[in-house]
Amino acid sequence: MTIEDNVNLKGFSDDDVVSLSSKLYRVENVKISLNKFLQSQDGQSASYNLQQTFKKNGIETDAQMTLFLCTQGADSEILKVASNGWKKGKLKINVSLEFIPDEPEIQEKPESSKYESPLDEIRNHPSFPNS
Amino acid sequence: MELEYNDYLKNLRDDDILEQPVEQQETLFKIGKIKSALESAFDHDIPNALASHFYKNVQLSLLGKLTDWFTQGVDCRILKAGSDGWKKGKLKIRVVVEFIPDEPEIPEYQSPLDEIRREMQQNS
Repeated sequence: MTIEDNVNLKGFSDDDVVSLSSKLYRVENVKISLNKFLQSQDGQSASYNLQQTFKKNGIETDAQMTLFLCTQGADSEILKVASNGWKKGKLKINVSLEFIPDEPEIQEKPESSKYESPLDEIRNHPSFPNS
Repeated sequence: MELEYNDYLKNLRDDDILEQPVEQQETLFKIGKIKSALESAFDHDIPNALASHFYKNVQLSLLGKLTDWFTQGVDCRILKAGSDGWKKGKLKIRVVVEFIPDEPEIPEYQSPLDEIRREMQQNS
């Protein structure tokens, strides 16, 4: 069974390796596991737990609603009190896995930078008289 | 736990209404109630379930404060394929609650120039 990719990666990619508490994991596997958490319906899944919490808070939902909330979005309509009607759309919990570097990346200056002065090309030209 | 909402949801009031089909019945909920239930879910239930799941699934032990995964992130190091070393940073699960309208919104606040533009078009 293929699990569709629900979770976006930001700041890193599937090929990378992450070290957490001195243990190594492939980023891909962490992502697949997070996807599984969102897409399954067993006792440890996001949707099951969401349904239980909703119930505790007086919101009766069904398993399908919370599953859709965690995946493709649940069909809903919103009525704004001060508006002129219902708005149809999807309510969704968007989940992504992010890597935030401690230090900002030091950008390497590329050979042909857009930000170099256009005069540099002229200055560096062999026929330009050197002062 | 505080959650991030998209612009549409940010602009809703707590007493705006959400309608959802629940077991084939149209059911109404107040936005305020949905928001606080979601925030409550991410306080304990979801982080605990995720810790349990990660442990069983990829033998990943989530140590420390579980909600850190959803807020500031947890300390980690990344080894990027094809790079020359480990990069320190934080791993974070970013959650944004969204309402995506089926049809795009017509902006309520149009530019004050629109009226002038309209007049100019009429007079041309």
